[in-house]
Amino acid sequence: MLTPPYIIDLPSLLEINLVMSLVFFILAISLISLILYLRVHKNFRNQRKDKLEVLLIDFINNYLFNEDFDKPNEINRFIKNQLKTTLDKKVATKQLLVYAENLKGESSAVIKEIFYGFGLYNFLIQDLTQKEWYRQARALNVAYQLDMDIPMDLVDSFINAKNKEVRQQAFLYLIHRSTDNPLGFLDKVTTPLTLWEQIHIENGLKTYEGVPPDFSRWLYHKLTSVVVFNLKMIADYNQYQHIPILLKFLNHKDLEIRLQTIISLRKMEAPEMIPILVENFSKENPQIKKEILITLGEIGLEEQLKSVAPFILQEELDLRVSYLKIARHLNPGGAKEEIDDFKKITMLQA
Amino acid sequence: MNFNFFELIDIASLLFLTYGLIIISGYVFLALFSFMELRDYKRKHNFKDEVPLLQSSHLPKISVLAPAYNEEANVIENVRSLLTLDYPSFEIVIINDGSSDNTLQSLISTFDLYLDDVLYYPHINTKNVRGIYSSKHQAYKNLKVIDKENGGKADALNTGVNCCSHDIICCIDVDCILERDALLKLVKPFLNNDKKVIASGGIIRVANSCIIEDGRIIKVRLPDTFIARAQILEYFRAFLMGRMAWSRVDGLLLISGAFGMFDKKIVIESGGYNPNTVGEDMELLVRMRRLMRDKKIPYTVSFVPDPLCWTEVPQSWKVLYRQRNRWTRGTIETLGLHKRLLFNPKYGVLGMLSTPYWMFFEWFAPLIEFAGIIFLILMFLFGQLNLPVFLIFFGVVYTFSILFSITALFFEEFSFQQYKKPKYMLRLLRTALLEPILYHPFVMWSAVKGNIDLILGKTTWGKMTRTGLSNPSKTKPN
Repeated sequence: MLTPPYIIDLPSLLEINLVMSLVFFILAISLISLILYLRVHKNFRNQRKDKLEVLLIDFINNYLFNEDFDKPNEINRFIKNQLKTTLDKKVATKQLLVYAENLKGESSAVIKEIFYGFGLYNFLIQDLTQKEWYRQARALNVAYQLDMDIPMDLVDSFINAKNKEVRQQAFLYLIHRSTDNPLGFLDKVTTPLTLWEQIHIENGLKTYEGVPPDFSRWLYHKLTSVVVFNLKMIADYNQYQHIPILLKFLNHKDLEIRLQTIISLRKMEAPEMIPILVENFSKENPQIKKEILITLGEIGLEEQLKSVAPFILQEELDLRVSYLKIARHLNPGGAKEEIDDFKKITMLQA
Repeated sequence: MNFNFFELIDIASLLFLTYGLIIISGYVFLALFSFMELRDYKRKHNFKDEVPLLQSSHLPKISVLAPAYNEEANVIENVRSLLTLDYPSFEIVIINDGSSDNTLQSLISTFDLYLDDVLYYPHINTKNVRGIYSSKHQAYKNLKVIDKENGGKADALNTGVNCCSHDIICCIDVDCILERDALLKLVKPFLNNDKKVIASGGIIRVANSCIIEDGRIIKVRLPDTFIARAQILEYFRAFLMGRMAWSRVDGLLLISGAFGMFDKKIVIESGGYNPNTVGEDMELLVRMRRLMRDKKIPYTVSFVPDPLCWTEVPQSWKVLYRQRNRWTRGTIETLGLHKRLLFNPKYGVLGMLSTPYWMFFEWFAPLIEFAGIIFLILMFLFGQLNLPVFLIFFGVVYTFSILFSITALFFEEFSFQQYKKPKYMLRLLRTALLEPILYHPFVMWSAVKGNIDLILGKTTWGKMTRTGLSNPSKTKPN
């Protein structure tokens, strides 16, 4: 036998250790092989991507600008020779997106024509109907950027998707595709909008070419986040005609809505809100009190600010700081005594 | 000595196997969960560009807090770099922690600062603030410099928390290099979560030998020294495997002090950073989590795997020793302060998984290893060392160590692939083979010494000397 005697006589626990060493060693070698494979695979992928991108740029440029280009035959030839794998299709889609971003009008329509010609639309629909969220989100993103028609019932089903990315891409698609009601999907939203989604929607609206919607339509939506979003947009889009509604919202029972109403009205510099704010100050929580103080600092008077000061509670120290800062801003010399007193107190407490 | 050698071996083997199995299961769990987390993160972010969102006026304002102690040499360049971060609304708060060099003077003269009468309430007790400075220049209007008596990093950060203006704070080391979109990426979890996010952390990358221009990494290079490369592997293991996995199960106990974002209100409510521990970053997060649990408020802690923050790691064994010694003391102090969490089902994952993991894998592991080495030496001295048995034991530990490092390397390759040159990957593989023998014992000893120093009452940070990050004119092309 070739096996050394000290191996044969090993206790079983040591044998297990030996086997484990071998297992770890084999796993380590396998992982190293996997790393090398990944590196080689990525390199090949990148090479193929680079090569295909050059071919695509050449093809698209010819398609766009060369009148002698035999479009139907060339497209078929390109599909047959170049668009064989999923990677090829993804690269082609990405390249078309680059063109779509930089071209407008007729040229943009030609890009869509190539997209259809390459059969990428089927690829997109296939992704949309898969259950994997990342494929759905990616497909929606492409459809949105290329301005593609996709079955609306399919998109509608994504409005309340469990995955946030899918939801977000569906919103962007619906904003982009709408001709007169970019926020129509809000009527169907049943999942609260995260702040991130709100920022995406806000950003989507910036590129919307139609008339901005009347945001007051959703001020009575059952979701607070939807109402808050629309309050923000009313201020961003200077829809001053809604100030009367917003004034009523200063007494809304929902704290978040009250808070955003104050911020929006402040942005719109609506002095009508000041008496209501002064009256409500004592009943509000510290967060809203702070916004009231900021508002008084921006569009109020020193007297109005002073009238709310007694309602800043002893323990509301941050609020006291905000008050003093604003008082100093309104009347640089006026609040000196109060500020000195406050500094003494804080020094003593420290 | 009168004992049966094979009986002793059997007992040691059993103990070893049990501990080994626990460790292996722990690492398998880490690997699986971090793989899932990385895969999902990649899927989420590989098809869209979020930079246009920077135009929004509804992104929350952020205060970036950076303590500086004797940073005269680099502070100006670092502040300039911070001022150019891509984010619509943020302030940079530099806290000069009683530097004995000219840190403050250089800041005052470079940024044309004046003593400002800033009002604030000191929610957290700190050392005396000597003055708060603002700039006369519009270009630096979002820069604030606080000058205070020396009180250590935790005290400096607490001062920053007291004096800063915004509700979200980002605590960083002043010499860290942040990617331009770092704030946007780190704030995203705060805005895109169904639960309240109390903190989010990011991956720390090793900047040694990288090419830096205008405070930005423009070319990632592998460090020339073995000690720095070994730390790269450690960081891969800690961040790409460890923290990604803990983030998946919402069990993160540590957000690096070099780069983390926090909800200021919760920080204040928790009492701020603890100046009496050297592990103030971990201790704060544990305390914040405990507070939320005790108040029964649903919350989460998030982690972003993008390479957003780059830092210089120790290049000398002496500095590395001090750092690891301090990390160990910080871990033990935190676990000691929060021993109530341990195996306490009331705290969920935190009590049943995270704290036991930190105790067994971070605190005890070096001690057990050290005990094993002592046992080995004793066996050798008493002539009881059986070479084949030793080799088998050594083999299993060694192969597992390299397997773990190689798994982390695989994750890097799978996710961000920052080291693009094939020779970098080969050098890292070589480092993975050598690290368990040439590097790990040193780190283990630093941790053991950390335990001893803690028992002896050592509470200092230890000097952290940096050699300075390279720039193109100073470094050779690689």
